[in-house]
Amino acid sequence: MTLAARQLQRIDVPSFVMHVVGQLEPDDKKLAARLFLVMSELVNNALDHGLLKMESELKHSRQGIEHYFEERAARLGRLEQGEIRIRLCKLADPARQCLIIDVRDSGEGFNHAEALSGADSGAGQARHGRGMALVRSMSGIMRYDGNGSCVHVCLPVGGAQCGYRNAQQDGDGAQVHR
Amino acid sequence: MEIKQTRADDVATLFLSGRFDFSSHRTFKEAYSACLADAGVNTLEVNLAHVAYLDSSALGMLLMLRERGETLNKKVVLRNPNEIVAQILDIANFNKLFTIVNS
Repeated sequence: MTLAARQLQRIDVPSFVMHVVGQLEPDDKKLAARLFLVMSELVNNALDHGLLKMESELKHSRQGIEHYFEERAARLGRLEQGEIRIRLCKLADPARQCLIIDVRDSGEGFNHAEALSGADSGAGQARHGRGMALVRSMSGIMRYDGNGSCVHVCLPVGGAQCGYRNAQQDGDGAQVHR
Repeated sequence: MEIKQTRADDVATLFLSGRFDFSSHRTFKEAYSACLADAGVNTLEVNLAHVAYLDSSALGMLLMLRERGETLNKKVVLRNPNEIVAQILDIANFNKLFTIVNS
């Protein structure tokens, strides 16, 4: 599905996707929480940095993370252009069941290779990149494409090991954030 | 997300339920600010038992609470996260930053 600026202002995207998956995978109770986290991080990352051009440094300002959230809400209210495209599919092989999630934004992208090489190791107190580190941990596989405006994630279903592999997969993608 | 607040001696507890993410930042800040402003509160406990979902926005808010608590010499404790929430807290190394209690 493709969501334009006006829809992004109105729709709670992670909830919407979870509702769909809940209908498809009613037996995997833990999937919902993992999927929520992954969708929330991917969509918020695409929205915050791809479309709203939020600066992560704002999270470190004296006013704190709430200031970042207020600024984000204000910019979203003014958003007139841009879109986020979400593709969700399930691998049919019963031995390697996983959901494949692609999120692409119409923004300018970012230098993901540089971000990867400069990644620090601590997910603890550092506020930078925690979300995408969590996605990587939950999903096992995460990679960016092209200019960094598209991210692919494979989320195992029902305890299966994910069968999705890609030559561009980077071994240290956990800390990437933009 | 819904927040209920209780107080026993010098411990204030926030019972959170539902989805803890960006959308709840105002209500969460209002709730914890009231607790931190109370001079009789020494420990602020955040009960996560009924938080079904959370994301990194929620983690950022918990860190903010921890920092603000520290400046006022108030301890912040996280209680009873469910299995997935506990896993997320663990991945984010929150066990090193917070006291996490299961009871």
